[in-house]
Amino acid sequence: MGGLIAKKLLTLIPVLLAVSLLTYLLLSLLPGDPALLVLGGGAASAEAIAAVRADLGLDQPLPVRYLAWLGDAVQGDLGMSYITRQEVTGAILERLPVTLELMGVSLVLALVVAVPLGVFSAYRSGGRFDRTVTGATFGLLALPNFIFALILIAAFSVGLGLFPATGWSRLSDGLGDNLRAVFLPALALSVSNIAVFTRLLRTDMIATLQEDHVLLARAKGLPTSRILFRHALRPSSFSLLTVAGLQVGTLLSGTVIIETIFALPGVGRLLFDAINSRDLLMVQGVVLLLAVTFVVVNFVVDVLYTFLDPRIRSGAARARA
Amino acid sequence: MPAPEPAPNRPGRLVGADSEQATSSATSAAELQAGQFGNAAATTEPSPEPAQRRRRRKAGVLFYSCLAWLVLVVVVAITAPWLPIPGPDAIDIPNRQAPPFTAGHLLGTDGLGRDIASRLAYGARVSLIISIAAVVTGIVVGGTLGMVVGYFRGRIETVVMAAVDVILAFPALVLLLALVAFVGQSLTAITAVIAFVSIPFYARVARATTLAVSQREYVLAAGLLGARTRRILFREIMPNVILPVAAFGLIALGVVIVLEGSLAFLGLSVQAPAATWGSMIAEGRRYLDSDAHIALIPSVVMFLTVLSLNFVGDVLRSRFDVREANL
Amino acid sequence: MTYRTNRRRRTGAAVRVGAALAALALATSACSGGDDPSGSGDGAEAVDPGANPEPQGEPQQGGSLTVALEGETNGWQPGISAPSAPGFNVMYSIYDPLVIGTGEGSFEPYLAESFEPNEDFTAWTFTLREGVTFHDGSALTADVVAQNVAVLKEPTSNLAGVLSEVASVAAVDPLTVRYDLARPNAAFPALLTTTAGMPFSMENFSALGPEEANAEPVGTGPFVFESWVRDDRLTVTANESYWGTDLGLGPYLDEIVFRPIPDEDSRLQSMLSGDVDAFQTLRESIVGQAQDAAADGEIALHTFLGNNGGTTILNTLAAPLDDVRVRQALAHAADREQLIEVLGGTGITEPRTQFFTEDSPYYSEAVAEAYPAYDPERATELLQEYIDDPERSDGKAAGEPVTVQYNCQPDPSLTELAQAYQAFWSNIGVEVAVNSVDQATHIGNAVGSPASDPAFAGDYLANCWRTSAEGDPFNILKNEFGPVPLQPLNFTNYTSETLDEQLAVLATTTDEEARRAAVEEIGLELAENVPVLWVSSTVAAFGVDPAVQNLSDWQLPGGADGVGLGLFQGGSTMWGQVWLAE
Repeated sequence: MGGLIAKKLLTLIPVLLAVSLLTYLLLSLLPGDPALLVLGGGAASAEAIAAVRADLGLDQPLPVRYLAWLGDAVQGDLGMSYITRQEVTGAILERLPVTLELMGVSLVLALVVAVPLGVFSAYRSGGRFDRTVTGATFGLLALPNFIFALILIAAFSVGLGLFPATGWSRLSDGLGDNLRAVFLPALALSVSNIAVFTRLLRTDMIATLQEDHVLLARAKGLPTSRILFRHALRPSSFSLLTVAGLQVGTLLSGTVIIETIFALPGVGRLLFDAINSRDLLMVQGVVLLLAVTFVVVNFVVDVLYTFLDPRIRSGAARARA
Repeated sequence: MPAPEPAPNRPGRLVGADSEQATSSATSAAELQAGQFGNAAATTEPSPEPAQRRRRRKAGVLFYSCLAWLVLVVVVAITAPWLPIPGPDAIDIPNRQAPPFTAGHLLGTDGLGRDIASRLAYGARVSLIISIAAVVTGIVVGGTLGMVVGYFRGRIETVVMAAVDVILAFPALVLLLALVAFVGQSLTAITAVIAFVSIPFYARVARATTLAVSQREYVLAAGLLGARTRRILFREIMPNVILPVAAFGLIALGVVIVLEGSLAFLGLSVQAPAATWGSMIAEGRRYLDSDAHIALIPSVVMFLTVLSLNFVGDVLRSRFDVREANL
Repeated sequence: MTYRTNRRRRTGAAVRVGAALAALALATSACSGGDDPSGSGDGAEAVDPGANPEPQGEPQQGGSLTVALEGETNGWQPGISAPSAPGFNVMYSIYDPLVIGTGEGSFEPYLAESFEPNEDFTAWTFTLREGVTFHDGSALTADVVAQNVAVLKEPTSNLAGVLSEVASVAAVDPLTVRYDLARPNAAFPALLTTTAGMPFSMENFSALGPEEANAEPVGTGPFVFESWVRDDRLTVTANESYWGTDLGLGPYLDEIVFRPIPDEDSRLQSMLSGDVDAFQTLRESIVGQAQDAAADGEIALHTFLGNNGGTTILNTLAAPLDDVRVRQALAHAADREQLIEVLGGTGITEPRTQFFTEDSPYYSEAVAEAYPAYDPERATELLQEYIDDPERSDGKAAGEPVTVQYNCQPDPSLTELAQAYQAFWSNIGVEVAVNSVDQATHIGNAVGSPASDPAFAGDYLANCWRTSAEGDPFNILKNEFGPVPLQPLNFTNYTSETLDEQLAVLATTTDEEARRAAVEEIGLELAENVPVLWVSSTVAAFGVDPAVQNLSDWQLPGGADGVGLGLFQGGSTMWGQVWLAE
């Protein structure tokens, strides 16, 4: 296992290099001069623009800039934002807890809802429950999260007054306030995942329920719930787990819209604002963070595969042999 | 009127043949519909094998109504220019935000007074092209990649999965912004980007399933019996992999249509005023407060389409379940 | 008893009625305006936004407010900070401007005690108040102001362009500071109403450095900066030793929390759910919804219709828009009242024809008549003339259709506006491509690059735009229509000798009659050559809890009326003078 981790960590390096280089290239090629935006969108002369470009290091050729950035990044210095004049590392660390909590709660919500729905609709596949769940999940899929978010706010904040409509409460402000603040955004973020997870689990589960070991358990007369959750769920979770792991990346794109609607001070909003203001170093920093999170989470997912199905472990051993 | 509980779902019958499972799912939904149309009497008609026969016939009802909806969508999309509807871009500001069933506007008008029915018809073209092209590309490219590396493992797996990680870890937003800036908001460019960023999903789902399947006895046995690699991959493994990948793809169709709406919302989809279902929903957001139908009608159409696709997909899968034949 | 100060009051129909009747009128017309789809463009229905809630009772001390703003600002250090309407609410709380505009359209001292030009308007001498201290205890002196200007004139400062006309600044004595200008400007004080004229503590700036000072501002304002979590909340507390307290400038509130909520709908919902006590917006459709809530008595609504307006800028250096016939055709082809309807502004705002509204002393009836009216037939004629011209500027063969790219940001209401323009222009046979462009690219395209020929020619044809016209006409028009290579803010690249002559008049005289005549000359020329297509005035609004008093009726130190929500370009107020009724 130690070797596996070391090997995976080694693959992390080329991934991060490729991602950061790609970001650097693409952003430099985008139209829109950062210097103009620093100068307030136009109140500038040619000399002022040149001065700002020199100040930001934008007068250097691209490879030089990239290597300089890389050198600093290796030492943990991601530079300073052009626009807000903040340290990039500090800005990200300040916002990371918000987005991580939002994504975490949203994934948990999605799984908590989707696993029982998926399992029971597979068990009673074709039954009334299955039909209802199928209809409901496709209904959720067809409603974009920005619409769903506004409906949630109208119903639960303005209508019932149960949750704040917008804004964030830190964990240090109290767990209750914190959970109240995160609930609606997390729910809005999880809708499409609830649908996707339920469908995936249902499909895999229907297949698993026909396998020998489940039939055997059935023949032994084990209770239904034990068969469903002990024998069938584990081997049915592959697609679900894979997609849930991958969602860490897409959830972050989803948080752009959700964090904007719910006015949360998270990383998604930071990334979107930074792209729109050509704040290259800030974008670079967030993308890097994204990449690291991503690779780590999916490494964990890989490890979980072997936990879920011991046959893979032996398979890995065979592949290395 | 409630439909009777279908037979195969008694707790005692936990496990059945795959085909029966899927057929029964279609059956019960069909019965629900039949019930609604006051046709329930038929279900109590005595016959030598009532359950069996009923299932077959009713499966047809739902299957064909879903199919009919899909055909309708496709036909409307193709024939939109010849239909007796106003042009999709014909604005009529004094008559904006008209409710459904307004004279001349069956489904009402949007924020610029354009006919919603007409925009749905024309929007179907763009939305269907984007979603189907993106999903099919994803399944073919991603699924094949994932299956191959999941079977061979070793160095090729490390390299391919690292490349997949790069795509995944790279924010699609940055990619889209860059592409739109250079290529413009063309249908091809946007479809290509959506397909490209979805490849990793299919690759990973396919790989995960392949990892499990390739250790199954019958696959190992085929290997020991000297079957060629290609044969093992396509005859033994692919039928098992294609199920979850296709299941994911069917759901992804809906996700992609909505995603296109989010892109429209961020100004990154096809050029206005071209209608897409997603952009209709995004534009309708402004009027959610007073005229919710502008956003909800395209949502409902999308819902029905995705639902139909999945039902039809379910039935087709069970009819042609190659895996059972291979066991 | 204070008097309503909103400029619209001078012409509004409802003004002659009492305040209560006006409020009622606002309520009823809001309903009919919202429900009646055929009411498009019926100008008579326009709500008089002058009917703002008047402060009830005497100012009360104490209380805390949460104010929802449109967006976050990149920081609070003048020179780095680039605030727009939301940010100026914070800036005017922490800092004081040396000068401020009044409800009458003139510019008066605020933090400064007085100012005085020399004979040819090339030097302006400001006298500061005695005993004013910054929040860190350091004193406001002429030296500090001079050092401030030196910081703001550094090449990387975003105020370097604005202050480029200041050749030097000298502290004549501890409380007297003189600005020497490179060229005459009779309207120079108007430049010191915003960030360029907000003194900041040099002690704080030198101790922390620009980056840190940007996150921990120290000014002289009615509120002291307390804490800031970007994109979440900024807290200020009452300044116990505020110089303006004795002059009636507050502060009355103990604490204000400013929260940026970028989404228009959820900002309104936050107000309706009671999460916040006040919210700001510049969107007509949201104002419409807020009017409904105000009619129910849930909130009190303050609005301001200023000179700031929604426009389309046309690049007069790029074919085919370099030909005046095409520009006129585009202007004649679009019905401004229908465009306002698309924006949701019917009954809230009115069509515009020029840089200044009817309430401004610089408004001209002649210009209003000269501006191209909605006339598709005339538009088609003009366009056809160009199309049939063998020498047409876009190099196409006679008879080929004209094509135009229309760029706009992906905002929901602007997207619809762009599509409405497209439909109007398609009607007369122009092929229009609508491009959705992000903010950075949008601004970059309009400004252009110093490397192009001529420099800053811009890389666009038609851009949806917001033309800001608050302030003195000279300061505005010299930016908008100055020499292209020197003036990046001349987005349309339109220049002419007439304009240069009239701008010179504005620069060198304070005679109101002469200035008005010069502005009218400029207006007539612009109406004929249409570098800018007008839609309507931008409405700026604050919806507040009914207990929150005095957003629209704040005053200057001498007791003159302020501009209500019209600070900067509209959408900001003086929170120091706001109080909470019991």
